[in-house]
Amino acid sequence: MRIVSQLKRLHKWIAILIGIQLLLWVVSGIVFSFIEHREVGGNFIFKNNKNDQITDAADFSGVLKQYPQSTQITQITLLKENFFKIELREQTLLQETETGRLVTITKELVREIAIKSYGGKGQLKDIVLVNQRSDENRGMKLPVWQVVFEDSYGTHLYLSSTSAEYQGVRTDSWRIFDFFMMLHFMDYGDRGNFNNGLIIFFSLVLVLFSISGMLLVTSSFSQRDFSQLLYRFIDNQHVKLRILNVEGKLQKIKVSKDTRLLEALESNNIELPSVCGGGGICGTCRIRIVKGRALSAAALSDHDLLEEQDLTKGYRLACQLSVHHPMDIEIEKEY
Amino acid sequence: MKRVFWFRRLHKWLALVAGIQVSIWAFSGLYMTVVDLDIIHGDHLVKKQESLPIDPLLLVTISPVLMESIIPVQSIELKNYFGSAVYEIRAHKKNRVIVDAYTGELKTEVNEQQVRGNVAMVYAGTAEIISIEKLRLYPGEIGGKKLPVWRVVFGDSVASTLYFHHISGKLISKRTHLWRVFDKLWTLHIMDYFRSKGHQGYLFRFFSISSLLLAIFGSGLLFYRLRGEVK
Repeated sequence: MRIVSQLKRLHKWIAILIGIQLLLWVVSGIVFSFIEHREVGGNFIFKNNKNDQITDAADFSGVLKQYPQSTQITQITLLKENFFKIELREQTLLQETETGRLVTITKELVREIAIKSYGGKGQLKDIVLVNQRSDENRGMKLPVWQVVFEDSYGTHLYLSSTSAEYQGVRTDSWRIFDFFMMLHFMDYGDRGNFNNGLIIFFSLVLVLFSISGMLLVTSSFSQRDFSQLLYRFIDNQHVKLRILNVEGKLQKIKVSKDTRLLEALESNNIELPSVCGGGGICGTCRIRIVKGRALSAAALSDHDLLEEQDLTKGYRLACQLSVHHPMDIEIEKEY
Repeated sequence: MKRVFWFRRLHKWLALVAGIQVSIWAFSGLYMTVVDLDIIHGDHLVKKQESLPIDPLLLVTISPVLMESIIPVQSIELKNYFGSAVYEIRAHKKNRVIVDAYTGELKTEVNEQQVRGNVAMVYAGTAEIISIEKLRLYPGEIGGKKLPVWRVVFGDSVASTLYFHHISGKLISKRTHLWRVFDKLWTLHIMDYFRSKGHQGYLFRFFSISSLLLAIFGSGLLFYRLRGEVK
């Protein structure tokens, strides 16, 4: 039965391969569960100008004649004036309904819109026409108006430079969220894409990791691990052991029933060497059962790591052995 | 007790606690990364809509009487739905009123014949329609709004479904089994088992923090093991 040790080796190598990404997945997942999603969106910082309502429907025929290639034309109100929002393939324009004049989105207009819609507790600090692509304006048409507010959320409002349309709100929470999204999706460019080759590879490996892990859970737990808790905390049953070292020194100890021998010895200050901490991987914690019923049973890891002839002589791995009946045990050195 | 013993023990017990959820995260994550999001959204099911020309000479302006009956109006959109020009008037509470832009009258509901015509114009697939019916309410998979909707189901392997607006006849939504599986797996991924925001938060935090500890103790074990192998 070498399968268990093969699984353990597989589990170790996968851990080396994807361990760091796995930690990043878990940490970013925790961040997502603690972050204020309202602040990530940031829309609550701005008021909907619901009170600006349209009373008179405009005549659309003129603007349609002018822009027959438009995909949609919408009559809206902005600062109590009526406008057509003309959606073309490449951009969106704003036109006065009365005069048919195209509106230039000036800094003053942006300031007026921003101040009117801002509902936060800060001050408008700066308005910049941004030409440079950055993480914050990903997906927006450039140039775009950036309105910087001095408030506790670190609010930036983005408005279209051709139609003054709302393009997005960016806050500090958004910036944190976006950063961890990048780590979670492993998309270090455009961020939004979780169908990239890198993450597909890593998630495939993660599936193997979780399968091997689940198999190892089932193989590493024995019924004794659960009864041991019962004996230790509720029933308080003990088993007597006699420990012989090679120099002939004899030591009698009492241990909680169904404890793993390695841990039982450890708590009586008899420290066997163990590299893996009781995983049944390194094989360094071997002992010999001189007398006792446990002689009959050998665990999978015993077969993996010990020679058959040693097994018949009574050698076992201390980490795999649950103490259920009194035993005489020989350990190889003075520890 | 030596640190490595504690790491081993905690790693083992935490794996017992969080192992199944970690596996669920892994499997659901794999599905979501492998199947392209555009295919999940069903973008391949429909033809790209070209803007069809609307004749400006035939346009009728919405009458003041009609406008007053809708108040308060947020916006008026001139759109082209499958060759017929309409004004879509957005009123308060996301209510929409649809007006025929050539007659200036309220649009009445589309009938099955018109829906079939719209399907022919948008559907890019080859499967046959196996059912076409008007539902009294939006089904859960498209948000459960309390409005009627036309549902068209196709006879392909993923039960592709198109939803059309009951008045304008426009395409509202597209669903396939690939989407439906994605939606279920997403629920598992964010642990929204009780369909309740409060519970989901605590449950998720408990299991994600358990997994973090699981990973940390696992890293500790890896450290000791590699160090042991070097020695």
